[in-house]
Amino acid sequence: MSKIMIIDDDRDIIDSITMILEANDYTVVSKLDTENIIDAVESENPDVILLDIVFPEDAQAGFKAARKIASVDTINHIPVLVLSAVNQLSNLGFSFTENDISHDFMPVKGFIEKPVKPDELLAKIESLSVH
Amino acid sequence: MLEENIIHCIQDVHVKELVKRLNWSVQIRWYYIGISSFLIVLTFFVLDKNTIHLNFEYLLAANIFLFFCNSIYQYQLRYTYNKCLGTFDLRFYLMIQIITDYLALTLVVYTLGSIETPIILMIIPNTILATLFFTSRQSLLLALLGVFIVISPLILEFFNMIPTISIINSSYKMLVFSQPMILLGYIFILLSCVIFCWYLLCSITSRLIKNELGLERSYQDMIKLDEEKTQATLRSTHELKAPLAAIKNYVYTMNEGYAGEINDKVLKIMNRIGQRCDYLLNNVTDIIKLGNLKSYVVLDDKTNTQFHRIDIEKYIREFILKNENLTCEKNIKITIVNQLSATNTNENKCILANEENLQLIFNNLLSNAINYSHIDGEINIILNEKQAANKKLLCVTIEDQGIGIDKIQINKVFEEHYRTNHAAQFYEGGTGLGLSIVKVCSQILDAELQIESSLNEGTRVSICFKEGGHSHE
Repeated sequence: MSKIMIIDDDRDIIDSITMILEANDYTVVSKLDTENIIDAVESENPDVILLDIVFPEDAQAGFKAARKIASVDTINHIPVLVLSAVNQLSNLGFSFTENDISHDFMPVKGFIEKPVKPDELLAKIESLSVH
Repeated sequence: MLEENIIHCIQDVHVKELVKRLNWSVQIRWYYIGISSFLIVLTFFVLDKNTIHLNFEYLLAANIFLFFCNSIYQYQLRYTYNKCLGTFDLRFYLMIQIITDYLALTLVVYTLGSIETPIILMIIPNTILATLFFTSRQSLLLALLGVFIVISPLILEFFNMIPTISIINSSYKMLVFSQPMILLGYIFILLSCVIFCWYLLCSITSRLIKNELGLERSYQDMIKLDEEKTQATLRSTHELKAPLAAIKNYVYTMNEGYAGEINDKVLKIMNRIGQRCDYLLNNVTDIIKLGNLKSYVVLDDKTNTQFHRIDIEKYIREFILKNENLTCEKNIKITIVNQLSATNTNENKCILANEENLQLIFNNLLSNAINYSHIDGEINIILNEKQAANKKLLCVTIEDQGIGIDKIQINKVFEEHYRTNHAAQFYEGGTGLGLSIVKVCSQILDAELQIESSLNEGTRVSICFKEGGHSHE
């Protein structure tokens, strides 16, 4: 059984995604902010992280959290999927491609735009071969 | 080449102007060397040496001196581009160049009899250049130094320290030298001319510099505001979309039975909630997107837009493939008709555009064609060429056989939020912003947009892009 960690400030998104994932035999843990992200990820040791970008205290909190996770050897193997209401093509201030020198690279495995259809969400998670 | 280097290397507007003027003065010097060398040779052969006595060696020496100095300045300019030098270094280079010109001019003035020709007035262009790029005090000092250098042979001739040169054997020079007051008057007039030019230019340039600094400040403020606006837009988009996305996520969850069994009536209501959510999400996205695109057009800020060569046929085929799910619901058949003239089997025709705007254009045009088509309808996408005012355009025409638009209403379809009653009844989900977005995107890409339609027969939208050459497959 795989464990998914949802880091999102929206309780409703956490609840609806939890319903979908739990029905598909995933274990779900959640966090409403990006504070102490390293400790939280290390203690939960999830198989996949679903990470929001915009948080109330900082519009780039998710981006910073992803960079922190990627910088720690013990947890940087855990795939991170961005889950955001903002379109991937918006000027988010960072890039999803490593070659883009104009922006900092966001080290994640994929981008899911909210709202997400259950099938698409499950397919994305399964594509990371954790189930 | 110079422009490209400036854009890559130098961002400061003063530095940019300085480099341009340095380049300009090097070019002018080359022209001077070429033309004067030609004249020296010509004069040597055609001049009546009994009436005019010219010392060709001195003139040639002045040209050789300028040639060597200018070669060094040309090399220096290249160094300037590579090293991205600041204003201080560039002003120093300009000062050295101005002094070089004064020295060469002094030799020419001496050779041409000092006061016998008006060549001494050639000091004025360098005075202008100095006034433009140095502070008023520095430029005055440079102008006075120039006058001092250029009239020095005349003074030395007066005191018999160097041989007196007269090209026309006139008694005029003898008269000037015999009456010191005339010589002083001559120097005074020359000095007055130079100082008058300096004063006039100083008062004009100080006002220009003030305006320029004001403009630069406004430009920097505008860039800062634009960045703030982008972040505020991002935040607003998120704040407006996030609650709707959460509702829609619940709808998906319930519709697919993750919250337990629901009866048909509830399912129907859930679907309606989902549709209204989609409408709001689309509307919010389109309003913000259109606002951003319009501010971009108003600011005419094309410096940040990277236009690439895009293989139009390949792009359209990939686009259709990616959006296959849109056509499934209504079982609509899409046919691509390529009428582009074949050039070479390995080459495809490209347009100049950027993917973001192209995606917005075709997303909206294709969605419209699908949404306003009947079930089992057909859509043709025609690629062809058009010649317009010395440029070749590559056109994409999306043709549907849907509900069409009345000819009276066709001109209003690009207005924001405008929807015909007929269209609103046929398809509820439209925001009335799709064609407005297409219009603004086509303005950004400098593309021509045309729409033709007949009620109950279908609509034909053509968009013609600038040709961007060929791509090798």
